[in-house]
Amino acid sequence: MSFDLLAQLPSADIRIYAVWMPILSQDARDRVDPSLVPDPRATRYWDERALSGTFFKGRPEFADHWDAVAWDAYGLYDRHARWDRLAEGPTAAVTSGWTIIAEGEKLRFSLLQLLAHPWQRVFLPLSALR
Amino acid sequence: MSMTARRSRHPVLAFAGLLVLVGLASVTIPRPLKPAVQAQGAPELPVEALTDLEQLRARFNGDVGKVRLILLLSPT
Repeated sequence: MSFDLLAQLPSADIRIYAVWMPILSQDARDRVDPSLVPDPRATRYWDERALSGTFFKGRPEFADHWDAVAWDAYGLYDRHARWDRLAEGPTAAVTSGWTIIAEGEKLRFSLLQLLAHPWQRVFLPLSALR
Repeated sequence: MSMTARRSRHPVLAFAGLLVLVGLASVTIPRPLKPAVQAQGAPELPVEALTDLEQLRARFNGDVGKVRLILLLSPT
């Protein structure tokens, strides 16, 4: 898994938080491969206690995730999203999904939509509207 | 079964046993893991320890005004 989409958008105003956590028995900190998310706009974390996966599983956007911990999943948030109270989580995700590969196209579409806004309108001369 | 015939089987059995041992070793000996640290010349990609969700919340709010993507991943 790598995020080629991000590499195709080098000037996009986006931040990525990549959080690895132990899910399978062989998972450990030294098995994290940060080069899977090499983007300079990314912050990479190792979440030893799977705090994030457990927390996001309790959020509506991840509630249907098949496991007790949300993993191999993403949440995409717009520019206005805030995470005010820790226990409540960020304001609603624009889109979320799992697995990341299976939902790659949905993520790509949503991301491009978000980055395109606000649309730069073209002001046509009045004569063109008649 | 004569003594000669029994002796002639031993090398075969020993070789078979050796193959089994080699096979087991290849399964049980840990293989080199993917490096957590980048190879020389590659940009350094630090991985922070997330010990409190507050870290993630603070970063998320610090980036208000930008599109944000949270990825929840497993190393394997």
